[in-house]
Order: sequence, then C-alpha cells, then structure tokens
Amino acid sequence: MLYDVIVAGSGAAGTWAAFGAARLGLKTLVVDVGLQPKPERRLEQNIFELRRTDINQRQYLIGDEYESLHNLYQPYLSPKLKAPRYRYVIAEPEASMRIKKEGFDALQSFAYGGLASAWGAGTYRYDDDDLRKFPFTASELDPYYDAITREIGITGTQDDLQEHFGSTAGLQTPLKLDRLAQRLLNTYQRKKKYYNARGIKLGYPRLAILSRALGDRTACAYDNLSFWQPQLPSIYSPAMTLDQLLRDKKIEYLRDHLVIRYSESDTEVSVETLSLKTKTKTLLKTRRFILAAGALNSAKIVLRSHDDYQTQLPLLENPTSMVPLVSPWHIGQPVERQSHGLIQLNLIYQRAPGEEKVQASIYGYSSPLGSDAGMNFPLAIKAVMASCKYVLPSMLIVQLFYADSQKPGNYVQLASDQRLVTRYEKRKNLGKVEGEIIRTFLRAGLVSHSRLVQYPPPGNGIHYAGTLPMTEDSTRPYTTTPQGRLAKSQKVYVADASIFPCLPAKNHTLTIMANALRTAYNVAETLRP
Amino acid sequence: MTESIGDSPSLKPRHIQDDELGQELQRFCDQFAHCVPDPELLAAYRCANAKVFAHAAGQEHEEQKIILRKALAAKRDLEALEYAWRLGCHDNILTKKVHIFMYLLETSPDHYNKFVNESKQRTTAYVVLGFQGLRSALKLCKGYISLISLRAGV
Ligand SMILES: Cc1cc2nc3c(=O)[nH]c(=O)nc-3n(C[C@H](O)[C@H](O)[C@H](O)COP(=O)(O)OP(=O)(O)OC[C@H]3O[C@@H](n4cnc5c(N)ncnc54)[C@H](O)[C@@H]3O)c2cc1C
Repeated sequence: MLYDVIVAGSGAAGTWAAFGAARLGLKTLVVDVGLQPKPERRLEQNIFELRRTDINQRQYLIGDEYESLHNLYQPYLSPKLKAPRYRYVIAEPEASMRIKKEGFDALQSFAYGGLASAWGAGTYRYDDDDLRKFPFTASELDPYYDAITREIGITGTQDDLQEHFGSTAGLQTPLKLDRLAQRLLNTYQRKKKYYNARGIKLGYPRLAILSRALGDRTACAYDNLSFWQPQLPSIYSPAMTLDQLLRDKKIEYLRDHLVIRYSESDTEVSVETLSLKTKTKTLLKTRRFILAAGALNSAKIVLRSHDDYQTQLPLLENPTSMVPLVSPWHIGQPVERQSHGLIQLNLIYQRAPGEEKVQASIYGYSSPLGSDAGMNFPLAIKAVMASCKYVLPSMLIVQLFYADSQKPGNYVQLASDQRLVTRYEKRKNLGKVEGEIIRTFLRAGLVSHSRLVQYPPPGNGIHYAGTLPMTEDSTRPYTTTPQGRLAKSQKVYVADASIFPCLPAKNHTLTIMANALRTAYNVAETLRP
Repeated sequence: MTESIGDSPSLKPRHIQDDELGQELQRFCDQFAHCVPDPELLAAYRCANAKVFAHAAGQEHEEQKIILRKALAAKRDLEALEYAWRLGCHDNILTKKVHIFMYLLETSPDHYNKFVNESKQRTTAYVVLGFQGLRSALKLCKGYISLISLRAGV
C-alpha cells in the first residue's frame, strides 16, 4: 500500500498536518504511539464538592501510584503533569528510550493528542515581529490561523494586547474571570498610564476553551476540574480533531507504533516503524513523509535516519519564572469555586520599543492542592496550613516566558546508544523583569518579594523548538525550506516546532498548528498531477 | 485506592504504634491535625513513604534518619524541628514526611475545612495568621536549638 502522506505523531502538529492532508483529499496515515488515559469514572462535579464529600478522592488527587507526590522524589514537574489522570501524557514506553538530560528536563509525549492533552490552552498568533527570523510573514499564516480558530473555538477580545495577539476575527467572548483577576484588570484599566509607562500591558488571554458551545462540545463549566480531569469537552485538545477525522474516515491511524527512521528513493519514502506490542518492525511506503513527533523526537528520527552521532542540532525553549503575588485585602476571602483554573490574564512587558519583550500568563490558585504551594511558605506547618486556607485564595501567580534564540551550548545530539542527549545552559541574569513586575503591582495592592520568585530548571517551559530550523538557504543540512521540506531531501517534510528559527516569548502551539496546516497544503501542491 | 493498599498482605496496617512509621504518623496527627490516625491513613502513609523513599540512600540520608529517630524517641517538638530544618535545607527527610502527611490530610473529606475556606472571614484570617506568624518565630528558635542538639554526635 502506498500512501500519499504518512504523518509521524498525533500532537498539535501531526493532527493539523493530517487535517490539511485529508481535507485536500490525500490518502493519509498517522503513525503514532497514541497512549490514552486509563478508562476511569469521569469527574463531573465541582472539585471542591468532590474534595468535601468524596472518600475516594485520593485516587484522582494523589493516585494509586502516589503520582502527585512526584516532586518529593523526582525533578520538579508542573502540578498538572503530576496529577494522576494526566500522567499518561508524559508516560514513556520502554522502547522509546529515555532522553539523556544534561541540564534540560526534557519532557516528551507519546500520547494520543500529544502534550496538548495537558496544555493550558493559551493560543496566540505570532505577529511580524515574532516572525522576523522566519521565512514567511504573519499575513501568510493568517488564513491558517483563521481556519483553526473557527474549528477549535478560541476566546478573547479586543484590548491592549490585541496588537501582540493579532486579529480578533472569529473569537468567542472571553471567559469569566476570577475575582482577583477581575480586580487587577479593573485597576489596570483605571491606571493604564502608570502601567504602560512601566512597560506593562494587561488584557484577556486567548484561550482554546469554549465560552459557548461549539458542535457537540459544551461550554466551560467553571468546575475547577481542568487540573484533574483530562479531555474536558470545553478545553480543546488535538485528540478531538483526530477523533473527528477518524469518525469521518478521513484518515487512517496506526497506534502503538514508533517511527524509527526513514529512507528515500526517487519515487517514495520508506518509513520504518516498531510495533510496541509485537516488537516487530514494519516498512510503510508513502509519497511524502511529514515529521510531527515534537521538536525533540522529530530531530531524533532525522538523525537516526542519517546515522549521525556527531551533529549537534540547536535547541530552543522559553525560559520561565513564577512570581507569586498576594493581595492582603483578599486574605480570608472564600475559595474561588467557580473557576476554569487556567490562564486568567496575560501580560506583556517591554520596557521600551526594541527592547526584549516578555509575555506572562497570570493564574489564580484554585485548582491545585494547597500542599503543592504551601510548603514553600517560610512558616511552621500550622501556619502553612492556615496560609493554604486563607492566603492561597488571595494569590495570583505570574508565569513569565522569555524568548530564546540559537546558542552553541544548547543542543540535541544522538548518542551512540541511540538515545537523544539534550543539553541546555540555564539562562543567567533573570530577575530584572520579575523585580519590575513586583514593584509595579504593589500599586495594585499586590505584594511579593524577589526571594519568593521561582525559576524552574530548563525544560520546564515545555515549549521546545528549533532543532531543524527553517532558512532560505536550502543547502544547509538539517534545516528546512520555507515550504517545510527537509533540506537535501525531496519528500520529507517537518511540521512541528522543529522548524522555528527562533522562539518568541509567546506560547507557540497555535503557530505550530497553523504552520502544520500550511505544510500540508505545501505537500499537496507537490503531489498535484 | 486505599482499599487495594489495605488488601495487600505486605501493607496490611499493623497496630498503629507497631513501627516507626506508625509512631511518626501518630505524632504528626497529634501535633498538626489533632486527629486519631485510622488504619486507612496509616496504610496510605506507609505506601507513600515506600514510594517517596524507594531510592533514598547515602550517608546524608542515614544521618537524617538517625536525627529523626532521636527526635521521635525524645518526643521533641516536630513542628519546630521541621521548620528549622526546612529553612536550612528543604530537601530533608522530616520535611518530606510532613509533606506526605499534608497531602494525605488535604485529600481527606474529614480535614477539608482545615485547607479550604468557603466563607468571607477576613478578621478571623488576620487573627489566625498573625498568631501563627508569631508562633512560627518562636518555633524557629526552638527548632534550631533542637536541631543543633540532635545533630551533635550524629
Ligand atoms: C502542562 C502543559 C501546559 C502547556 N500549555 C501550553 C499553552 O497554554 N499554550 C501553548 O501554546 N502550549 C502549551 N504547552 C505546550 C504544547 O502542549 C506543545 O507545544 C505542543 O503540544 C507540541 O505539539 P507537537 O505536536 O509539536 O508535539 P507533541 O505534543 O510532543 O506530540 C508528539 C506526538 O508524536 C508522537 N510521537 C513521538 N515520537 C514518536 C515516534 N518516534 N513515532 C511515532 N510517534 C511519535 C507522540 O505520540 C505524540 O502524539 C503546554 C504543555 C504542557 C505539558
């Protein structure tokens, strides 16, 4: 059987590459490991109701394997990924071979739907400034952004962040804000001049979470379940698009298969896969092969296909930090029962035009367990418990993302045992922006201290990119052409964030999806009779 | 979850005071939660400890175990000791054990009200936090003294 297109991976990139290929009538196969959550009783009540009444809550809050205690014995992991029901998203089948982490806590997903099965759903368009090192402009991506916005449902509005986040066409109305976030936004709107003079702009996020029903997906229930229950209908995940494609028989899907390598002839690409069930290898034939296994795994497949154990490919990630802010006025307020638990507001910090731009997501602290944060308070345990009860509902967490560009010390390389090595040097000199934010928000009645700021180790930004960067110069090996074709190859394309020549300080998954769709169109173009 | 833990023969809850973990739990319950440790909580505490400390080894870990053992035997104020220890080094055996205990407590409906506030109580909050802040300062002094004396000779 000869396919028109084989796509490796079912994450944000793979799904949208497959979507595009299927829409253009190409015979498409998605090859994927495709781990799924365990079949379990779905949580349907508000998390606080469950915590107040359910005697079996430890099963989903801590887990049969005590997964939620993860940070006590393993490297730091974000609360969502520690949650028992989300662990499948970053589970690693034995045959996948763990990454060798040298200063970079790389996460890889082998899940059906990829990492975005656990994402925060922040969906932002890149503007021309973000794309200045890419060989295409924002207006070239716009039709793809528009199409995806219509399909998945994104909330947002016209406000001060629109110039950074792009067109508001087709957006659903924003989700309801938590009390504290609403108050912060009101303060900002009243004292805009003050904040803007300090380089800060604040506004609603763009979220792939429905504020009104779309197709058979229901609107957000504000039940605080997002940290505990995967596959909530209101929160978009690529798995939904994949389900739809499979239901409509638009694509074929080969689960439990790991793509190992490929080879190319004049007429076709042979893709070697390993069945995780039978441990047997299979050769699949296709006219075009699209790599969409995530920036790390796509790089690995390419290096293995060339038996290259020497080359160091660039590695990009958004360095991140967390600034806790407490509103003393809100201490003693009741917990935020009706919340979606994800990004409440976004903030852009740019001291002066031309200077580095930093984007931040602002969260409340309602969904995760208090014990996750409380033990960081410099207080005795009973005071920690009182703080969980009275202080956490008055707390906001600002998560900052910094831009990244290629640096010689940050790379991936294939080791002789076929494992991928990820090496990354921690960015120094962070803290200035955090300090500015702390000082500025004091005016809004939010208190913090630079010693409370946390700087998770590299890898925890979970925005990986840049391993096979796009350039205009198609003679450089291990780069991609503006059409997404791997340089020196005729039939192999790359659709995930590997192609990013730089990584702006902005969540990049919407752009991964838009570019994957664009790549599928480029591939279809080459298959026209 | 805990049913299956309780059913496993190796993890069947023994009498609460039978072993070190039981003693620890008893003390944590007395000091932090004013509750009686039931077999279900003990079973969960034992499993969680097994998981968290599965690969803990080395001289430092052994020394920390000795300090903890001495503290339990001498009926030291564990809250004070943990606080002083945590401020010096977050990654210590007692803080990890207390953290486990906190997770288990927080995921039990019986202790819901200790962690979640459902009504507006600004004054109460300020009074409680003010008191706990002062108490923390005293606990810190006590904890340092305790830690120094326990470390001596380890
Ligand atoms: C907790 C969390 C929050 C996040 N929040 C946001 C956010 O708010 N906004 C945002 O933009 N981004 C966010 N992200 C990041 C986002 O999820 C990822 O950038 C995005 O999912 C990457 O998509 P991808 O398709 O490139 O790769 P992945 O999602 O990694 O998908 C890889 C796919 O390839 C398959 N695969 C891998 N190797 C092989 C192989 N050898 N053979 C066959 N199949 C293979 C896997 O099964 C998987 O389906 C978040 C991530 C996490 C974990």
